[in-house]
Amino acid sequence: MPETNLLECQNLTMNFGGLTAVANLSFYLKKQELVGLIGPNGAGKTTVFNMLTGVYTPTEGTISLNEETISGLSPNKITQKGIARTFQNIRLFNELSVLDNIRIAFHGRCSYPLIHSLFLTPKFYREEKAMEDGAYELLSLLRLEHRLNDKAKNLSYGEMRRLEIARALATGPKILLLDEPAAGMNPQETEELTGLIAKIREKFDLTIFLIEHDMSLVMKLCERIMVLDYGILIANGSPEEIQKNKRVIEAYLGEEV
Amino acid sequence: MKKKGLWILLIVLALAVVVYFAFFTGKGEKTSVDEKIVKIGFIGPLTGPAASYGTNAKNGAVLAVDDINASGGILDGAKIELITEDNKGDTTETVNIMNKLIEQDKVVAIVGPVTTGPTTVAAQMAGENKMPIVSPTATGDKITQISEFVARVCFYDSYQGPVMAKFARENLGLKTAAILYDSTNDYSMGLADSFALKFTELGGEIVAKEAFYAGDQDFNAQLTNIAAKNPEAVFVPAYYSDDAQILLQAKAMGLNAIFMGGDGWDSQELINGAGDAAEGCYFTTHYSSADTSEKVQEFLKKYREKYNAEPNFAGPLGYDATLLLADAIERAGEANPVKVNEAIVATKGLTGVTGEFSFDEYRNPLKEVTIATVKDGKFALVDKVRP
Amino acid sequence: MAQQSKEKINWDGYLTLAGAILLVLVNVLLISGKMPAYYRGILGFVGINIILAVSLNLINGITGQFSLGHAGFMAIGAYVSALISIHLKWPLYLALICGGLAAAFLGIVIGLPTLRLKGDYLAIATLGMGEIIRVVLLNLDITKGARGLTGIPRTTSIYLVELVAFITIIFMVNLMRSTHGRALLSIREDEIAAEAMGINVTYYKVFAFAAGAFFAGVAGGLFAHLMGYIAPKNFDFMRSIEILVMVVLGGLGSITGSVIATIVLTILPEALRGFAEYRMVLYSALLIVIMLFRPQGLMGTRELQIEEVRKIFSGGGDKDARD
Repeated sequence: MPETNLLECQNLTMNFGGLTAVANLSFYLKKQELVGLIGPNGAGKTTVFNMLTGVYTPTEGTISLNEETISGLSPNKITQKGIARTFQNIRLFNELSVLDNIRIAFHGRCSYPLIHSLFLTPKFYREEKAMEDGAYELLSLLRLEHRLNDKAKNLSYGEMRRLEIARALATGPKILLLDEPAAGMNPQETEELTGLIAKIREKFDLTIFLIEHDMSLVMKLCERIMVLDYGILIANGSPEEIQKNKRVIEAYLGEEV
Repeated sequence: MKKKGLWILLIVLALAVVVYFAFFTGKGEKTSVDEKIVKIGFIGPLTGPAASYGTNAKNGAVLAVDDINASGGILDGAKIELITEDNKGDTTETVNIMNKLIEQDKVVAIVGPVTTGPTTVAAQMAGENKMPIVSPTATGDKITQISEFVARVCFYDSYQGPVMAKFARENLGLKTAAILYDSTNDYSMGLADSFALKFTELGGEIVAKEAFYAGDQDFNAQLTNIAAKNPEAVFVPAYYSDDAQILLQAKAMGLNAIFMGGDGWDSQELINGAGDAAEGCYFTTHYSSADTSEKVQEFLKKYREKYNAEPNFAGPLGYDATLLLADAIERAGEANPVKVNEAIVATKGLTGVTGEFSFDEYRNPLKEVTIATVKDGKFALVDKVRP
Repeated sequence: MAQQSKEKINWDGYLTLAGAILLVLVNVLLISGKMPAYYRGILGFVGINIILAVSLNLINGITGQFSLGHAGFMAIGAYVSALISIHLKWPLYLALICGGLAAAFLGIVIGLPTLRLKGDYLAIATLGMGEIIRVVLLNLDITKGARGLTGIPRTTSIYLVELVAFITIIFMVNLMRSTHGRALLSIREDEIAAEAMGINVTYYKVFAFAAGAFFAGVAGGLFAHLMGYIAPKNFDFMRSIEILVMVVLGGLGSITGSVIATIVLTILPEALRGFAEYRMVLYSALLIVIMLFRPQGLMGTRELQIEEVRKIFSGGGDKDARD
């Protein structure tokens, strides 16, 4: 293979007390790939996301981004290195405006020392302007520009999901992790979201790694699918391969003797 | 639209001007004072933890004002008006009250504050504003040294400590003593130090010194340490609520020593709280209700009649402080704060409820200290001594 | 333009205007020497309380960390600056800065281990910290224990208090306009999301504590040099509660709210003096009534801005949807 892997995980294991949530998981993500992570409830999908973003430090194994080890770093460092995420159960800054939600995510990219804000230096205005422009751009891309000054808690469900994505994009990621982006959406909204995900990957040169239960979205969108069951990777391949895979069918339909 | 904004701006401005005249100029000008009234301020904690002292002192002051006004007032028939303000025992409030009394109420002199902390702050302001203050009960050693406009009618901490030390050493013939004091309390620390100094000077020995914190309920650890040294006396310069607990726990432990303390013991609550355990203890105080002198008994009668309550020592001290001021104003011949202060300093042999007194160079009263004891569940007068 | 005249009245604008006029008026009186000492004294305490309330708002309202130890930081600033003035005879501004830095240092030292705690647990830990500071002050020789520290030069002027209060407010306003201020807000809203957005949560929490403690320390120094006498009693638990009440009454997170509530709550006890013993009952009753009708505080999380005044004069037009 000519190109190197963007993200490389080797032998990841996550134990919670006696419970092994993820066991000996190894996988890779290539640049600009769109990969789906599926599996039954409790398979350990969100745990994988939490390890990738630093919320959990893997009990064993390493994660490296661009051949640099990132496992063990704090979540904010990992975000700054280029992995952003959305949350399964939406975690917006509810009392703040849509604009502020986005600007906060720009923190790591356009930051300036505190002293500049206290004395309102030209640098302060420049950087703030850059953040605001960036925020406007993202908001219009995600069709949220008309809600700029509304509090996040007053958005509709679909808008909240889109704001989560916009906010993750604002951190300037190389890899975007989407945790069930279509959860709770109607078919039409899911349809729109599918187009949107494809569009942002194109526009930002992104690698997207997503957890989703909506199979139509996953099959339509993903170039590669990984299947997790009881913390073990049981399949990894193209959508066609996965659909035919016996172990996957077993995992979803229950054990057949 | 622009006009509307301007209109409102004008209204706001007009309001501001009204507020300005209502609040600032009216009282700033010299109002015509009724010549027949002389205003005296009172500052003390009427609410908060020290309220019992503040209220007693205020009641005493009110009694004194009633007495003086009833017998023809001062300065050829002028009546005294007492303006009382509550400082909650707080220094910040005291600053505001001092400003208010001096500037808004234009008082001639002030009775108070009651506790040492606020008196320290008030003393600085008294000096700056040339406003005489007489504290009824602030016993902190150095407060009257802050300014020449500060006097008091109570004795100070290091005045009563040595009295008890001398009494223990010479009258009771005790050789060893222990001290148990409240290390969060300036009053307690002052008494403890001055007692220890005098007791050692007179050839006694301090065998143990133990500290507790205000609010402690269990004193067994300290009392055990003290018992191990087997002292003849235990000096506990603290307030009655702590004293009662200490006496009870010492008795339960079988600690066999004479307990003694300062004016903080002087409350009926001590006997109510400690019961038998209080028998035979000694303390110094400002006056004793068991004192049969006419002044004391007359005061007690009036106090009980008016307030239907038993005064603690702050009552007669509040009375005496007011009496002192009235006497000084009379001698000054006019209601002028600076002249009044000169008269206060010159006070000689004034007889109040708590005794006859003159001032030392720092305007501390030179007067008798009362030594009291508990006998058959009642306070009894032992002696009145001059150090 | 015509149909806009029926629009909602721009209260914020008029309130801001009234505030600005009041500020000018107060200063005209002050500088002309017409203000009585009584009001000057109250004004001094208002200023010091504004510094305290605004700096506590940084910790409690904006960063969402429930602290009950503000009087402790104030005490450190008061004692350190007072001791410097007494023993080293340094100029006041140096003493104040040292007092502030000492408080900030303590804020960091105590903050780092306790910031892992959240909500009620943090409140209890900070409460304990405040009490520890008070007990230490009671027992040190250099602080003169419960007797209190006397002989502090009374060099705090009303103008200095005003200046520091002004600096504190400007600091907060500029901070809140910046990405650093928004980072603090994001921690209040959702710590986990804040971290996922690349915000160093520990750093900003410690920053909030240190900055809040610094200003509280400076306020303590001003207080010490205003009174000339300080005792541990001045900085007990009730003092922390008083400051907290100002912040909550004004609205957690609103700087303007803190300022307004502080002015009201500092003047109120003096204004109610006419009611003698019922004064504090009335004061408490008023607090309860206000909190019943405005549980989110006087201002909620809103701020008054000069911008609003401009809108009045431009005819209340181009009303944007700012909340």
